[in-house]
Amino acid sequence: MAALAPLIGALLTVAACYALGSLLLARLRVTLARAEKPPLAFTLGAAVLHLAIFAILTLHIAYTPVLGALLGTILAAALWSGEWRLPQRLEECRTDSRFTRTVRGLFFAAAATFTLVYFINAWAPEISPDGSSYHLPLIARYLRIHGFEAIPTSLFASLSQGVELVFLPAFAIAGSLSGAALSGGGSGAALVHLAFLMALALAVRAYGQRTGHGLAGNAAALLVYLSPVAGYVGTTAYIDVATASIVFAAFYWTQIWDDDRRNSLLICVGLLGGYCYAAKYTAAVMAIYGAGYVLWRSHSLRAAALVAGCAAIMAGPWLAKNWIYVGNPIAPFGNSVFRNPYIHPDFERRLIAFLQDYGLSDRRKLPWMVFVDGGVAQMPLGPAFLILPIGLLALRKRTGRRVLLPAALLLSTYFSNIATRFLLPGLPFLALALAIACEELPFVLLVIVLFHAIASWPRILNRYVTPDALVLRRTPWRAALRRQSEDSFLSAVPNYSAARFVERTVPPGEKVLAMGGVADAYTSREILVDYASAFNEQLSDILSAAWDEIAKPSRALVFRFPEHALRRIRVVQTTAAPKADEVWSVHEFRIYRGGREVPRSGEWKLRAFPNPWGVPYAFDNSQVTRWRSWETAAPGMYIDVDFQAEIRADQVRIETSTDNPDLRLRLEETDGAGRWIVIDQKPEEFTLTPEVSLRRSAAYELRSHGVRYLFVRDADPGAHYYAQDPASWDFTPVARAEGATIYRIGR
Amino acid sequence: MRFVNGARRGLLAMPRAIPLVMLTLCACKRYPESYAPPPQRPNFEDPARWERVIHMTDVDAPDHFVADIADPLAANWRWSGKRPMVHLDVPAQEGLAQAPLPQTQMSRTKLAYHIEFAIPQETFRSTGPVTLTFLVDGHALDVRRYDAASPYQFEKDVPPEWISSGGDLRLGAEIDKVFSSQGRTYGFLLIAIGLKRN
Repeated sequence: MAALAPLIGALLTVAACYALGSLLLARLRVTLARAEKPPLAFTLGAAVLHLAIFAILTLHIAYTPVLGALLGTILAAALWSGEWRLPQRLEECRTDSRFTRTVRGLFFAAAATFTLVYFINAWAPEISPDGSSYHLPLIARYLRIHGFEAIPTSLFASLSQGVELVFLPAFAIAGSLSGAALSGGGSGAALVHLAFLMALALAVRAYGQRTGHGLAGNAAALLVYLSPVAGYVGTTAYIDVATASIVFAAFYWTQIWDDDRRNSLLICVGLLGGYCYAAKYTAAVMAIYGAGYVLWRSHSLRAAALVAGCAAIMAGPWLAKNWIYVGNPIAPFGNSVFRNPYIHPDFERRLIAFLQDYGLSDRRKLPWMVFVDGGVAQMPLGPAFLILPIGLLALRKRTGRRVLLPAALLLSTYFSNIATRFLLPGLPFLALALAIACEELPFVLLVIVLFHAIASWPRILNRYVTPDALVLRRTPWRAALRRQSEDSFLSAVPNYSAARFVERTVPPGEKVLAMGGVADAYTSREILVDYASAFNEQLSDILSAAWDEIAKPSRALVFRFPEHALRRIRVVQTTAAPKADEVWSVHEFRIYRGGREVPRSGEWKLRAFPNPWGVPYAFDNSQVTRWRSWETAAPGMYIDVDFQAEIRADQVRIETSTDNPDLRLRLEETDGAGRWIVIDQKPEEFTLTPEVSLRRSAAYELRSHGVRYLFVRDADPGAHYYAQDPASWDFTPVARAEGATIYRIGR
Repeated sequence: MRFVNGARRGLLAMPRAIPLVMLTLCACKRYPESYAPPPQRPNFEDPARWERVIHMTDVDAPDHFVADIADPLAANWRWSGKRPMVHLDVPAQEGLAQAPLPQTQMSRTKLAYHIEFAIPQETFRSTGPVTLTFLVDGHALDVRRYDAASPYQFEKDVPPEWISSGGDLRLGAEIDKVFSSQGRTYGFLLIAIGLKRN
């Protein structure tokens, strides 16, 4: 049953998607060709099913029987109504040459062979880094509590999860039947993803047929299907192939509408366009494309509004969810506009900058990585795509122009993340353009596809991709059939061992602060990855303040002034930071009279801009916590103290670090009329040598924040400081394995 | 044509609507009004690893001055007189007993007297070579002669019995010859003084 469970879960889910799509198409009285119905009904059904599961999670009734009943009802309705059936095959006038038929035969053989490899890989336990670190763990978490919940400690929880929700029933059913939620459920999800890959290839093939480019459609479908990036992503719990499938379906529906001009088709255009957003933010351009295309072709605002309205039905719930849980509808982005305590704008800036180059200093190397060896782009498209520029010749033809327009639109978002899988949504369009450009030379098409098939075969791939490229390297049939233990199969997966190490060592219910990702899917402990949320970043910053010279409280800026009564004061930052990574920080904001600190009163009202939520850290008497602007320092940022009554003082002292040296501060007070007037704008600068143990203070803060375990790899920042003298931190090394140490905080 | 015009009007109206929509959304933000100061965190001592070097640039340096250190700070130093002296609050020894000190790269069992200072040309021209006696709670830790105007650093382990538990420890240095001008006495330029573990 352990081996069959993922198949059952995936089969039920995929069938339910197709059935739901078929029912909706019947309701809309839409007729499709025989080749079109399976992929288009499946993606349309997935879109609607995702909404139903969203509702189930919102109602907190996500129990396996509920999900099973939903799928069963959909299947029964489709079977009972007869909408399950495929349209009749049309009488075709066979005019293909013997050569063309041979080409088709070879294409079929290649597709069948790769399908077997893909199927076995998807069936095996989940191995992908992203699938095991957040796509699946989020699903598992929702299922544990039977619905959505606020997850302020992971930015990934704020991304739209339209594909993951379609994985969810397969994950739940497979997990329940196999008794291994993570292994069985993960495979179920990956098999559903494989169905999206197959739907994509079938849709590309069908589009070729619809537009009179049958052979080109077949070739393009194979170029996409056999591509190493599609092979790896489409057989794991990533979401990018599904996104590509949804994107292509959204495009496909615009073309069907353009041919037919029935208003009911606009519903499909809109739903799929909105589902693009629900699947992945970068695919949202297809919602704009759909509405724009309809407006352009029909000159009807009403038609475009119908598309936009249907898109809003799909995208709206995700915007609302983020708005409710994290106060930012487009989280984890847009944090400078929709300020919130969950994700720092500075992190967003660094993340975007990183995703644009992955540390690659020479952009000229990127094409080779994207097309051939993976490199920092992680996965290759396949060297056959090096001739993609030939596809521009397709501009000579109407169909070529039609596919190159969305390709250009989708490629416009690529440089926001240069990982190859971000090219997947545009890949079917590019493949079609290439195939259409070459279709008058079928032999050339055949050579291209066969070369692509050979170059994408796992054994051949292994010869030219980088060692850490994410590609299918073998056909793990023993693992798929569960004849090889999950542990031995997964031991080669990065971060799997770390996750099991955490699971073995840390007691249930404990949170673990980790300086880097762990394959969360394989541990039930909550992992707080240092960068994954504002809260986690704050904890990491607390630790840094105890070992990192530039983060320590080592500078004191002192405003001296004649003693007088103060009612409300603020310190204003007045300079634009010369570097984007210069963030204003204040460890402690102290007020003195006659050399003695004025005790802080509970009546005081503290405010700050930006990051108003962090201002208590500047008034807690801890030298390892600090208020930070968490965005590039800019004029006008302030910390404001309203004493609520008059106090007398002659000095304000700002304790800070050396990582914000270029900033200039001004001290202001309110006059009798409540206007701000300047007291001093030239503070004296001194050094600060803390006499307290910063390390023990940091340990105390972590415990105060509910974290009692720390997972540190040997290469992590600060690791050697913890390892050299753990007692000075109040840390107890509990276990050590896999080049990492788990510390218990406190003794 | 009417539709086309309508579409254009609609599209043109959109950019004007965007700031309005954004403003409306921003107006719904859940910003906190204000916070009261949180509970004050305790100070955590670590007697087994305690050390303290007072840099003249430290904001609290004057709080440690006992004698013969001029108040105005120039760059990173202050003028000393003949016998500059600072005091340190040594943590209680009980802490040491509770937290046995591991011998690691990060820490040493013994505390060392540490001083950074400079003999400037201006005084050296008048005094010539000078001798400094380094003092710990009245004990002479060492005596050194300096034959040139230059920055110097001196460091030497302090006998543990000289450091009293939980007490007020006085560290200083005495120069044998001073330079006098306009009624003031100048010894050397003091940069930092204290106890250090490495």
